[in-house]
Amino acid sequence: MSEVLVLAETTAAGVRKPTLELLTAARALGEPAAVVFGDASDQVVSQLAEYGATKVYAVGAPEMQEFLSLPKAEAVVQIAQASNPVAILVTSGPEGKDVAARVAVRLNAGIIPDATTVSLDGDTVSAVQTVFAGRFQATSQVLRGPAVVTMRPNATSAEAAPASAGVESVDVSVSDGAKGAKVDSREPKVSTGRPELTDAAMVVAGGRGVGSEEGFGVIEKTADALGAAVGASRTVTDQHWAPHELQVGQTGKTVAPSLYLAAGISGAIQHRAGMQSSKTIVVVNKDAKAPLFQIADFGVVGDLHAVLPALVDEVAKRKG
Amino acid sequence: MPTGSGANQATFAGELSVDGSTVSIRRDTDVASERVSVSLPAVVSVTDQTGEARYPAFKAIMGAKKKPIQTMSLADLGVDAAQVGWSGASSKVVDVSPTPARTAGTIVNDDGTGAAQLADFLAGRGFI
Repeated sequence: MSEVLVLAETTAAGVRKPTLELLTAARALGEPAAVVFGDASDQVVSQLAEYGATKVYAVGAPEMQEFLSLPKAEAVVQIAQASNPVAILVTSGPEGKDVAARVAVRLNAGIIPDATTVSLDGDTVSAVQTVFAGRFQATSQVLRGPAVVTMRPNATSAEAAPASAGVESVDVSVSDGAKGAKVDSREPKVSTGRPELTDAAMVVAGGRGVGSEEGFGVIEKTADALGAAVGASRTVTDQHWAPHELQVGQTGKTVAPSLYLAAGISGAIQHRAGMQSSKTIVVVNKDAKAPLFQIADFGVVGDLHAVLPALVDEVAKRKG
Repeated sequence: MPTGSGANQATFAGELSVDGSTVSIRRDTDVASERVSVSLPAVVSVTDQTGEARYPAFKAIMGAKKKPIQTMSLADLGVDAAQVGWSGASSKVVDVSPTPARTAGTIVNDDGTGAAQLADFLAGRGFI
């Protein structure tokens, strides 16, 4: 079986969940080999192995953190030229897309961005993309080179499949041309104590119906009662009632949690594009005609400022 | 694009400023907020966070219709015909089909018991 390169994203807390999803998807194509930039600690290596990595390429060069994307692209190209993988899987995010595009050009390979699933037929890699705001599924084949595929977080669920991974340190040479964009500072996102939006099993999201920044507090209280992450519609983030990184939708995050509870969100197609793959959708809105009710598994027509505080009480009662 | 062109690149800028020959951006990833600087010439891509679009006035729209259009051939650009179009494609779409529709479930009117009914539903699915 051929190798499948998986670009791992790590934080101080370990391997990010989207990377574990990539490893799960990679197992259907070949032998997952993870590429780690920076410190390949024992914790990181064992986490990668738990999800099926049979090899870990550790790239320790400091340029990987000091400059934007291009040194990482050069490292991946050098590893790919040596290991000849069938595919290179990357998480769809600002950095992943940057790196994937550069890698595909350098390797003269086909790229499929924002895929939800990936498969192998003979030696042809195919991937499915959700297109036109979620209304169609497009299947594409890569015609040459290792298939470079960026995958949306939360499109597949991460499943463990323990393997033993050997660590190989890789010395890469970074060209001067790759050192054009210098990272002057990098501030890790401050943890709110809540689950991360794209990783969460449950999301409580608020829209225009919350009415104000203070009104958005009821969304946060409901999320905390359930142990859920907080999301928001574009109206809410444009009004600065909630920070931009909480925006769910076509120009924000795509989420697919087990439970998506939307309160005061009417359900514009752009918002639906970011959440309609959620397993269970619950809608609270005082407008019975809100389009989001059409895709709700359960809906309450009522004022969110009455329903949600009562729900928080109900949850507290049931949790005892 | 910058691959091969020699220009620097800074992508996904949420904020952008230019100081002399240096472009500085802020970009937000899932896990961090980064400040990045590149020297010109540079290709910079921006998100919808950088600011409101400036829409052209009617006069400018009419004026645009009179602008000369220059047609360039592949030879003008020094591009081999085998590198573009079908023969140059590195991937192809083999199927497009509609996403299966979701159907609406139970919708209740809040008569004071909406929250309790919602809690019953959530508990029934194991969310509480």
